Amino acid sequence: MYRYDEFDRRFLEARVAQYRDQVRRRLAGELSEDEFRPLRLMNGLYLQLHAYMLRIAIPYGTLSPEKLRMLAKIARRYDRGYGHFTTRQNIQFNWIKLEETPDILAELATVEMHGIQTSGNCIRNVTADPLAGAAADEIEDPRPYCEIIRQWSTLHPEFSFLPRKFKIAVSGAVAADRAAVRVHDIGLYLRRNAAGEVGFEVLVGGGLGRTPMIAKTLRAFLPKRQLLPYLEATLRVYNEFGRRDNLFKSRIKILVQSLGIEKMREAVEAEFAVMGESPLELPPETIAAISAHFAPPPFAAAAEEDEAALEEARASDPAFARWVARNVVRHRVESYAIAIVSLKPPGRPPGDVTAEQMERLAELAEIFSLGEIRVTHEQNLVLPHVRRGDLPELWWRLRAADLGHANAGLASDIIACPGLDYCSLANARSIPVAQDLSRHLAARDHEIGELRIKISGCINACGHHHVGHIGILGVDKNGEEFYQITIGGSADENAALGAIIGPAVAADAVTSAVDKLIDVYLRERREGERFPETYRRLGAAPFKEALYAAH
Amino acid sequence: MSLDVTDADPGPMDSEPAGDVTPVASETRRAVTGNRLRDGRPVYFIGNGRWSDTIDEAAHVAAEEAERLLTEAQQGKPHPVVAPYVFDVTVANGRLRPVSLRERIRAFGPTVGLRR
Repeated sequence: MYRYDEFDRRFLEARVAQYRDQVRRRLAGELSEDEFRPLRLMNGLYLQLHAYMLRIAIPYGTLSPEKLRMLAKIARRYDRGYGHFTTRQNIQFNWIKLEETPDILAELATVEMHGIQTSGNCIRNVTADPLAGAAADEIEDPRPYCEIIRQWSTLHPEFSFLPRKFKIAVSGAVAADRAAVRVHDIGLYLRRNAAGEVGFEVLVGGGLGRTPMIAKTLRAFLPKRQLLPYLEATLRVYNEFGRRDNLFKSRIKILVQSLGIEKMREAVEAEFAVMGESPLELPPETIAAISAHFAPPPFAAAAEEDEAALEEARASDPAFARWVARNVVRHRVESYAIAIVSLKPPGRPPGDVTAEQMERLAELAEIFSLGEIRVTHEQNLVLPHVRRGDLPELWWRLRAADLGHANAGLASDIIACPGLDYCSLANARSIPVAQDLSRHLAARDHEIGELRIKISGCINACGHHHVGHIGILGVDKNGEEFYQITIGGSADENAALGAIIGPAVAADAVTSAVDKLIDVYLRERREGERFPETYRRLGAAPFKEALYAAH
Repeated sequence: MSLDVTDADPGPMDSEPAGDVTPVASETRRAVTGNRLRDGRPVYFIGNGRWSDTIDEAAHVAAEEAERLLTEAQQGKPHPVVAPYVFDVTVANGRLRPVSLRERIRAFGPTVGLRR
């Protein structure tokens, strides 16, 4: 992974010192809250219902054991012993004290971590396919380009006060999209053109929230060399024409919608042309230098007994076999595998991990995954480089830490935002809904197969409910929590927004409502059909009937 | 000192005071809350420039007095509390219960715990 050089380290130290003084002045009353708020937000510090919340950047979801151990230390020393992984591959701590944040940021800086640009109207954490560099279906590892974009966008003087937040995601897979690229402000797919050259398809104007939209293609093929100038041109058009008069119409998706993609493209291409030869162009040697930080680790040769040991373990232990079937993904190196670590034990808050679990995972990454851990946007973790012969031992150790649940992508693998239990923006709780659903559905997981349930506590959609196969949105109706259900959404390469299926249901009716939708799906599905495909084939009628028809 | 999470997240059904589900007097009163600057914890104005993290100690007034109470709560510099505001409570048996779920969660903690 990318290692800071001396310039990076000095920058971070200076930033911590600057922030320490800002906190001192705030506590002394020398800065008002209005003056201080943008400063703390620039370091990822929010004020929520119970305490401050610190959002720490995990660039493109890539962690080392050292970083994960530091997160465990932060959880233990400064929080309540746990952290929460988010839908943007970051981590959040919910119980932070302002007066301790300078020390927290100083400790994070020792492992090259921070909360910079995890909030505010700037370019946020660039996210990526969590299987990057390991997946068998990749054109190229997207992470070097994520790192290039991260460096370009950090403290960018022109783009630190955009009309609104800006989110970029990058995927390098041939066809699959494991990074929800199409619901980002800018999405990038690595593509190969007819001449066999690798470049980017650039998409723009995706997003969730109040007005969800699927991104449109801005440029079908962009040579790698032009990545930063083209992004710069796009951001300039947004910065100039994006609305600043209305918070709810300030994202780039609104600009794309109002201009239309053709006019948007014209504007970007015109700005790009005016820029001419740009110092931001990426010569091959620059790409190579950054890519060197992401060189494949030293994979060991396959041992003859590896496959036999794996097969024997599968044959003798059905629980292990289920875990392999669900949570293990094919690696580009034949003797290795990718292991998905579920952070969704049924009945637990999705994405929450204790300090002890973090330390255990750091150790497991060192022993079994060549020192790497990834965070997914679905609030799970990944050990990307596991020898196939080590899978049985790894699983035993994950299970001992309550991290070995075989439910990746199944109904009990629910995404949920923190919701009204923690978040000052929320209208309703999301975690208890997720807990109840996951407890109830766990027994049906393997019968149902893949099913993505996503829950948000408000219209800001941090739980990505718009792109859930079943989406659940908490709303406040006269002081009572109700839940609006959508179906047919998808965050993958066939991205789609879910459709509202009918009136919101009461909190105690959500689980039975989801049950009924699943019953329709199981009754009607064809061989190999996932929930969204069944929905697209049948339409909403049978689902609505099951939920709302008087019986 | 870091707290064991089982201590930290008792859940509201464990930590809400018993016996106040149906207050004897259902009149809605007004109190003032905010987040303590240094640690972000919810605190309640008790008068004379003082704040408490226990809701039962909050000063509460009739609706028409709310503005006055808020103004009083906003005095003092440096102010120890971020953005104080008025919220609704009911009172029964000397105990205060916030009317809204959001304020109940602020007063008594998240309804979820990591180890539930």
